[in-house]
Amino acid sequence: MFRKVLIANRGEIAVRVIRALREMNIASVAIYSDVDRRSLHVQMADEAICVGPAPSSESYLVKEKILAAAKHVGAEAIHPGYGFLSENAAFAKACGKAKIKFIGPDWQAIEKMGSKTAARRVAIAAGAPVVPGTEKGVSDPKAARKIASELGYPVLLKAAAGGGGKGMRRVDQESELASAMSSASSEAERAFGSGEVYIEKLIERPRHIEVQVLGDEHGHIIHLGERECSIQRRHQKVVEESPSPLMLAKPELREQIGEAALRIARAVNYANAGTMEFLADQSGNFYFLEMNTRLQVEHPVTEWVTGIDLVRWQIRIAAGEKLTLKQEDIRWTGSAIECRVYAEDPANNFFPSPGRLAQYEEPSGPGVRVDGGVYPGWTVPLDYDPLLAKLTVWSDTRLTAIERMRRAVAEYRVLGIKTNLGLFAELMADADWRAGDLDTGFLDRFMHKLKPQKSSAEATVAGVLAVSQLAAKSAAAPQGHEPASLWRVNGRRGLLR
Amino acid sequence: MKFHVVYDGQSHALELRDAEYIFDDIPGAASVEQVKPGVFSVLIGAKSFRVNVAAQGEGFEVVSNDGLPRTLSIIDTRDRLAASDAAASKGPTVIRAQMPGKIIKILVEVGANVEAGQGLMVVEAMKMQNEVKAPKSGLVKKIAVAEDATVAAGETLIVVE
Repeated sequence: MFRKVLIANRGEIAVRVIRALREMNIASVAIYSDVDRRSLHVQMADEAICVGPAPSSESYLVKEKILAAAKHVGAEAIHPGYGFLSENAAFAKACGKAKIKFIGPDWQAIEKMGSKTAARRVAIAAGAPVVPGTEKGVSDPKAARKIASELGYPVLLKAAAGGGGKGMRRVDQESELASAMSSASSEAERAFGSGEVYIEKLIERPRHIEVQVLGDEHGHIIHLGERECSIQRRHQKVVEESPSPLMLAKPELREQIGEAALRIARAVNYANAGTMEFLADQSGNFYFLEMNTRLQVEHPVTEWVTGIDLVRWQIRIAAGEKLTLKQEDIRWTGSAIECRVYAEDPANNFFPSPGRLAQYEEPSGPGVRVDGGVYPGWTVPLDYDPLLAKLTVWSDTRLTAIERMRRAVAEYRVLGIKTNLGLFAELMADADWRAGDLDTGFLDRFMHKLKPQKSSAEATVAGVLAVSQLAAKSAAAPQGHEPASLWRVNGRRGLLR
Repeated sequence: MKFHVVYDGQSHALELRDAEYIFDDIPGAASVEQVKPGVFSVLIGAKSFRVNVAAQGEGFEVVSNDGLPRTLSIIDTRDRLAASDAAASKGPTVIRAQMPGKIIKILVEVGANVEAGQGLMVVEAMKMQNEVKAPKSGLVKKIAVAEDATVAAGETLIVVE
C-alpha cells in the first residue's frame, strides 16, 4: 500500500480524499493556490504545497508543478478528485512516466472514453443502447439537414469534446438548424478548443440516470447500481439520489442498465471507479450518453445505499489490490439523497455569490452526512467552482429520506453569502418531486412555479427581537469600527434605558 | 421606543418594553438569549426559535427555524421620504456589480447611445459569465472599470443617462 498520496484538487473533494487516506493510515499531501492558503483541505492534510497563483490554469491545472510537488515530498500516488486534471489522459500518462501512480483508470481508457463520439462507438460495438444519431461530428449544413430529417425533429446538437451543456442546442425544425449549428460550433470552439458538433435524436422528458462501476486491475469489474441526477439547472446536477424512482417502480431495470454499463467498461478494460451516464425515457428505455472516467461528485449516495467506500477502493485498486466484492454480494438498502450546496443567489438568477461566511453551521444527527470544504469565517474565493458542500441523507424509504433532508436543510445555517439551501427546503415539499415524477427539465419548471414563502408572524417577531438584541449589544460596545447606523442609534436610545 | 422594520419585504411596527413587545399592535412576551456570537435562542411565549443574525450592508441577514434567509432593515420616516425621492428623480442610472467578479469585456464606449436591454459588459465569477445589460435606453456617461479589473458586489460599473 502507498505510504503517501498527493491530492491534486481542492475544496470538498480534497477533504473527502484526505479523510479516506487518514482512515487508511496513509500520509496526505494537499496542493493549494495562493488564494487557498486558508482553505480547509490545507489545514487537514499532513503536508501542503503551494502550486501557484489563483487562476487554475497557473496552479491546479499545471501538470509539471503538481508532479514536481509529488516528487518533492515523495508521494507515491496522486488522487485527482473530479474536475481539474481528473480526466486528462496526458496527465495520467505523465504520472506513469514519473513512476507516480495515478489513482484512476489507465490513460488509454481516459483518452478513449474522453471523446463522446469515440465512447459512443465503443458502446455500440459492445451492444449497449445509444441515442440514435451521428457518430461523427457534422459540419456540412446539407448533410446535417438530411441526418436531422432522418432522425426526426426535435434533435439535439452537442459538442463532441464537451460537457456541462456548452455547445448544446435543441432544434425543433429545419429552419432553425443552420444557425443553431454555427452557434453551437463556435461555443464549443471557445469552450473546448474544438468546434466539432454532432446530432442526436432528442428524447422528450428524459431522465438522467447513471451507473457506478468499480473494477480492479486484474480484470474483475462490478456495478454498484444507479443514481438519478435529473434535478439539474443549466445542465449542472443539483440533487442526486439512489435508487432512482424509476428503479423503485421497475426493479428489473437496475440489472439491465448495470449490465449495459459493464459491457462498455469491459470493452476498454476499465479499472478503478467510473460512471456511465444514460438518458432514460419515462417508460424506462435507456441510452448510453457518455462515461466519466473518475470519481463523481455525487458518489456519497452510492456509498450510502451499498455501504461501500468508493474512495478507499479507488486507492486499494490503484495499489494493485484485487477487488474482493462480487456482483451477487452487492445489496442496496434504503434511499439516499444528495443536495449540492452552492454559493449562489436564488433571488438573482442563481449567480455566484462568493464572499465571507459570516456564519456557517452544518446539520448533523441521524442519517445526515456533510461533505464540506468550508468553515465559518472563511472567504469563498471567486476563482473556482461555487460548490460549498454536499448534504447527503439516508433513510429506509425515499419519502422518509425526503423528510430527513427537509429537517437537515432547516438546521443548515449559512450567513454572509447566498446559497441555494432555500430551494431545497421548498423542493422537499413539492408533490411532483415527492412522487418521483422527474425529468431533466423539472427544476426549471419548478422554479417558475415557486412562490416566495412568507415568514410566520412569530418567526418574524423572533427575527426582529434577535436583531434588536444584537443592536443593543453593539450599542453597548460603541468602539465598533462600522459607522453607527440609524438602527444602532435607535437601539442605543431605545434599548439601554 | 418604536421601530419601523422591513422584514422579508414586509413593513412592521415594533415596540420594545423589557421582556414585552408590541408587534403590529399585538402585544406579547418574549425571552431572547444570545447563545453564541450572532446566534440567538428566542422564546415567543413558549415557542422556541433559533435565530442566526449577521450584518449585511445597512441591514441584517436573518435565518430562523425554516432555514430560509430573510433580510431585515430599519426605516424611519426620514429614510422613507429619502427613498421615495430617489425613486421619483430622473437622471443618471448607476449600474452596479451584482456579484464580485472580474470584468472580461467592455462592450460599449463613453458617449455611446444604448438601448434598454443592450449588453454593456461581461463579468465573470466562478466560471460563469454574466452580461450586464442596460436597464434603460440612454447615453453612456461613464465607465468606472477597466477590462481585467476585479470588482466587488455593489461596485459601480457604468452610468447611463
